[in-house]
Amino acid sequence: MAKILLIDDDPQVRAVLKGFLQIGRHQVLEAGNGVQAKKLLTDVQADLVITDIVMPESDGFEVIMSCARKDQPLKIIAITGGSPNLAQQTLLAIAQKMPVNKVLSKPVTCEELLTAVQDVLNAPTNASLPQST
Amino acid sequence: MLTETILIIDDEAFIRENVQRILNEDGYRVLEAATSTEALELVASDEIDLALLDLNLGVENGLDLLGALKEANPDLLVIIITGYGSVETAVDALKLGAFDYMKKPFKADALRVIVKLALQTQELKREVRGLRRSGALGLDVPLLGDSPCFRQVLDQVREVARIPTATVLVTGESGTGKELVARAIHSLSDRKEHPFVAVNCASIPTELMESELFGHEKGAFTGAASRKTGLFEEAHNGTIFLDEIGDMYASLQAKLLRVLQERTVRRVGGSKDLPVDLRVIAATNRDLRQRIQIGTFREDLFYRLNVVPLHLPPLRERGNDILLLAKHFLSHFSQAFGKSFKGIEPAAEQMLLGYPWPGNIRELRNIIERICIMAHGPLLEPAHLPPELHHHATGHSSTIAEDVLNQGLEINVANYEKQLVVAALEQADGNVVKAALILKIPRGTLRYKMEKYGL
Repeated sequence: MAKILLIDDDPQVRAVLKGFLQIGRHQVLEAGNGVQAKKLLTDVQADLVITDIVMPESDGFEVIMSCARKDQPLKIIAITGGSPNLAQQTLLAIAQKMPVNKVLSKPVTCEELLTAVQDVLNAPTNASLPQST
Repeated sequence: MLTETILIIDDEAFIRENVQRILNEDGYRVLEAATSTEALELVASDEIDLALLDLNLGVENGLDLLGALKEANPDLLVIIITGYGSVETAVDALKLGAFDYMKKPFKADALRVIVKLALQTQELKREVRGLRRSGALGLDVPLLGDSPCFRQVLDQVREVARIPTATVLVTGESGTGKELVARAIHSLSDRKEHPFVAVNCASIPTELMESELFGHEKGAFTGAASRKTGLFEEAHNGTIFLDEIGDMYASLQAKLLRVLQERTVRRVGGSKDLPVDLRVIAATNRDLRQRIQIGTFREDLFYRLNVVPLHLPPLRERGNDILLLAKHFLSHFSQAFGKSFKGIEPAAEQMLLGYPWPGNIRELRNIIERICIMAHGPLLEPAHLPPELHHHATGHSSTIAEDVLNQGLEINVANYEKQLVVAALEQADGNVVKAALILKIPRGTLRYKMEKYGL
């Protein structure tokens, strides 16, 4: 069981991902955007951050960069959906260049998500290194 | 009315003879068994409607036999005969599925009454089953399947059912059971006590669709004589199932998007946004990404619906599930039509497994239903199966087999036509417009033919 911060601006998507994570018996904190997420992270210690990439306010890229700049970089899973302006493939390609442990593309299944979470939690902390999936 | 068969299971010959005599007088066919082994053999080999079982079968345990009988034929009616002072055992028997019990010694009239009552109940059960089948009582078919790909679907159904707000997009070819999956999600969720409202987006005329879904205020348009609540409102706290979402027209797509984003509905001609708490499950057999490219489906709506995608595999990819489902339908329809089908011959099984099932489970169901109406059993034979399955099994030979010829022109032409329609649809990736072009027929004609062949 891990404490996971989940960041997505769409409450429905958040509800689904949270539900999946709870099936995996994880504790879930939620944030609707990057600003909220950063505020939460100053108060609580999370084992893992799962973030959407395209969001209003502060977007996923900012969250990722600020997490990576910390002394103890947080483990991050980025989840990308398509957006009207950017194709999903483009976003995936960009996300994979970011310092994240794993990139998933929307929609994810419960199994995909929980497997990715387990992999990342088991991995040594090296989120500051760019990785591909 | 057919003669009903009753089996008396008792180790005392004199009781068997007495029961035999009484029930014979009433016109029933009566079989006798003195031991568990004999009883089980008879239940397996004969069509038995009712068993009278003495719980005190010498050294054997009657309760064990009751369990075994019920396992061999779950619909077998069992009446327990019990000695003085063993009412508790009789109660246990009722829990195990016995219909009723009689205390020894019993009078001839008591036996007659209880047997008649039991058989009437059985008859009622069959009628109810018949009604269910016709849809009058709503479908009650479980999601059956044991193949790895279908088990994965079942896992996903259970997962998503736990998240009451999650929007689900069910995709799969026609006849793969999309509505059943939607109903399963509903009935496994916390919303199960609330309504499940199913809407077919392709079957309601576009002009009526908006007021059907959203309702309307009095005087909203000509003919709106009174206020009407829409289906979204009816599904409040429950689940709304939007089938054939790919055929929903553009202006309604925008309104649906609003419902998904805001979780409110506004009646036609209304000014208030009414909050609705519901789960939306949409389904389609079309390729929505393709529709987005053509411009007939909104991309933003697609992303809203595709929060949890659930893809149902076509029947041909489900391996032995074909036989599992065939056997389920066979026992179901066999009972509904009072036939005695017990199983499927190996050769017929091979034909069922080898056929590509373009109409999926619906096609399989229809074929088995037809067989149960026309044929008698006890085994489903290759000869019972329709020509398209034979053609597929033998490959296309240039010589026409005698039995095919004897079917006559009309049936054979129809079968060939169906094959052409299926082939064109496959080549066009299910796109009706393209398939119609390939076949060089109007789109409307193609739709009619698809309907006709259950595609």
